[in-house]
Amino acid sequence: MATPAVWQFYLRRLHSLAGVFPIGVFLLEHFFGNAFATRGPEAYNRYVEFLLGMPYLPAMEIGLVFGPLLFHGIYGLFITAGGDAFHPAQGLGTRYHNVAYVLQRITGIILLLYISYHVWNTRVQAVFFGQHVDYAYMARYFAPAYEKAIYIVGILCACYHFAHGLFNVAYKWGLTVSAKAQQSMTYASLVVFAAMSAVGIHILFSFK
Amino acid sequence: MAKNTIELKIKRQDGPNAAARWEEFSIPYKPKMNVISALMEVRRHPYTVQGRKTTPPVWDANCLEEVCGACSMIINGKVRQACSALVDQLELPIVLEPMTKFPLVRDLVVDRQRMFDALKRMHAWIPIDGTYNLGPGPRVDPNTSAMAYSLARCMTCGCCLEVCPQITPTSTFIGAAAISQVRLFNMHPTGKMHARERLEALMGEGGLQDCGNAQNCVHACPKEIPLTESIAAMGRETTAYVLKRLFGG
Amino acid sequence: MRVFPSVHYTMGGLWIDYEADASGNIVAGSPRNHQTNIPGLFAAGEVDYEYHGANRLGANSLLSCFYGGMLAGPAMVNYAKGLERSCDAVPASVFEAERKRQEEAFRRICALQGTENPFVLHKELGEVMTDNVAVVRYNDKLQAADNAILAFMDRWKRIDIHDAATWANQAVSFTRQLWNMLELARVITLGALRRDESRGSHYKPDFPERNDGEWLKTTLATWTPSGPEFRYAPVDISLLRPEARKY
Ligand SMILES: Cc1cc2nc3c(=O)[nH]c(=O)nc-3n(C[C@H](O)[C@H](O)[C@H](O)COP(=O)(O)OP(=O)(O)OC[C@H]3O[C@@H](n4cnc5c(N)ncnc54)[C@H](O)[C@@H]3O)c2cc1C
Ligand code: HEM
Ligand code: SF4
Ligand code: SF4
Ligand code: FES
Repeated sequence: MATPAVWQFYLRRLHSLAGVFPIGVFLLEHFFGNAFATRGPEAYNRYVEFLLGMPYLPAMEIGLVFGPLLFHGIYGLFITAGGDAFHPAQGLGTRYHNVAYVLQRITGIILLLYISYHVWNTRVQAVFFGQHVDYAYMARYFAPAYEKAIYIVGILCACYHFAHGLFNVAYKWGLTVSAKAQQSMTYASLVVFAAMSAVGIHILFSFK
Repeated sequence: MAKNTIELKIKRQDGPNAAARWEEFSIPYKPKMNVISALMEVRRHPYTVQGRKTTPPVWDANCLEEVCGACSMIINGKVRQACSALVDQLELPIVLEPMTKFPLVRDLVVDRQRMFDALKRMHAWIPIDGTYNLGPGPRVDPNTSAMAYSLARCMTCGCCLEVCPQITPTSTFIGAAAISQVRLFNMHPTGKMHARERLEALMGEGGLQDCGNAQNCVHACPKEIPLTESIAAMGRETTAYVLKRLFGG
Repeated sequence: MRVFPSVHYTMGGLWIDYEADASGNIVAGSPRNHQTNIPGLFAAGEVDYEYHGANRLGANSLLSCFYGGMLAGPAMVNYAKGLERSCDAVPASVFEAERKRQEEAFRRICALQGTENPFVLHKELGEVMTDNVAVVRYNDKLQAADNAILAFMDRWKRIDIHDAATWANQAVSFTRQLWNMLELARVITLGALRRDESRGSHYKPDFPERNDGEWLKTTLATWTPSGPEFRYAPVDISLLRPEARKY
């Protein structure tokens, strides 16, 4: 018997892994770091300087953030195209995990747009247009209500996508096998979603 | 409340390329009917409620006791077996449609071949045929055998595929049933001997990785097979298998 | 759910041959084993008449399926090996003629334009058989049943098929099978009518005893255009003497 091509399996596992490490870990770091904004401009600017002063910064940004994000995001589009989120689920469409399946895909697509927007207005401005991105810049940038609205949506999407992604990872890799473990993981992921959303939005409103 | 008639609304389609149409029928009420006996009544008097003569509706059934899976269809918006769908418990009119994820043959009959192909690819059997006596089989502990029994109830009916967002007319995903059967045969002491072969197949095209975690399957399974546990268990088995292959062994 | 006693085994079936050695034991591998009277057509499982006699003991069907399969497999291989010509050597016209015959049969059924509904006929046949040809049997009722079947056969010819589709046409295949059911129903009914004794699941209150003297024999029915023709063959009891069944 010919060995079936297993590259799709490995690619899918790589996509799954990338969602947690490095992307998920980066997301946590990103929240944690930006939380210095809640301590005022000086604390925040010190954090930004620390970041910019890190050794191997470009390599890390490309290798641990943008590369994996692009891979996860683009392959995520292919995964999304491989299913049919709006199929007639014969009465089961409103069940939580089916809704979560749909949300995972919708939030993924929104994230692709949102992250591009976010990166354009922050990192790209800094690296390519010499903009000094600090507390003052961010506070100015967040001032309009529509900007806040965009970020609230983006933060909620990122938090949900990541939090439910943790459930997916546990399911896919076989960490949670029993129905009970899966149920607990579902609740845990919702707690992660709520906690991260609260922190994220708090940070957003800390830029005054 | 005495019902005198049962109204049925059936989605008809003469063949894969024909246009679909709805036909309504009214049959005399009898207590304790199921959808199959209602369909049998329809073909004994194939006239629509408008009095128009029509061809007898085409459907599949075999065991009439929910063990063969042949009669799966969508009944009042829910995918289930027609033989165990009791008319007394259904809202009227009873709306019957064919499953949507499989190629349509005619009327309520679809072709579930992709499921049988998947079982073949997954090596979903235990080869014990031989020309000599293999002796008594190995003993199985009661917990394993209880779990095996619950997995063995799968009748390849297709309900789990019908409700799965990852099953589309173009996707090659094998679906929850075949994944669960790999678990069944890999937990059998003799079946284990081909565990590697099954895992390789399970990691092949349209395999385990294509599950998107929507977990509809487990709620649609009429045999209450713990499909999502099976999927996670196979996730674990493949994880272990891959790590073992990467780091020796 | 409605519970109703129903058929879960058909005692009797296609006649098959076997080869026994001098001591009466079966010769494994003989191409005669499980071969029907149509050369090259083998039957194993519930379709064959072997092993169970007038009653099948519980759980013994699968046993006989396995056993029959183990005999029929090698028999078929050996039969094929012993052939002088394979099917490739049969002129295509033979297959073509058979295809024409089958298509003609299909067309004839498609052309049925009478007033009878095949599914109604089938239901009535079931009722007649359940009422008269189940376990408890009376000769007058058996005779009445045969008359009823003959009337069904007449009505079969006046079926209104109303579905001429050449794709997934269940009405046509059902109607075709229905004719075979009618033929077979006559075999069962007339065979039972002739057998004036009680044996296994064949119970005649008018003849309540098993009568080995007269009836320890197998009923053989042969198809003829004018209905089944009956013959009887001895039962091979060279290895095991029959005893009274006490449960
Ligand atoms: C409700 C019930 C309970 C039973 N319980 C028991 C029990 O507990 N123990 C026991 O030993 N036995 C039991 N039996 C009997 C036993 O199950 C059957 O006798 C046995 O399964 C028959 O096997 P088979 O392979 O001979 O025939 P089948 O299993 O009937 O197989 C015949 C096959 O031929 C196919 N076929 C038919 N026509 C055509 C055609 N024209 N072209 C191609 N293929 C065709 C059919 O689709 C089918 O797959 C039970 C039977 C029933 C109905
Ligand atoms: C903040 C950035 C992101 C994070 C932290 C993240 C995280 C995750 C995690 C942890 C998973 C679970 C992996 C699994 O299913 O096993 C996941 C799945 C998924 N992600 Fe992302 N992701 C991000 C961005 C994106 C983007 C931009 C897309 C693009 C559409 C995307 C599409 C998907 C899809 C479709 C899945 C489901 C995969 C499956 O069901 O197999 N993600 N993500
Ligand atoms: S797993 Fe359940 S729903 Fe799926 S085919 Fe088997 S019995 Fe049907
Ligand atoms: S968990 Fe969801 S995606 Fe996976 S097989 Fe079941 S229904 Fe399909
Ligand atoms: S007829 Fe077998 S499951 Fe309904």
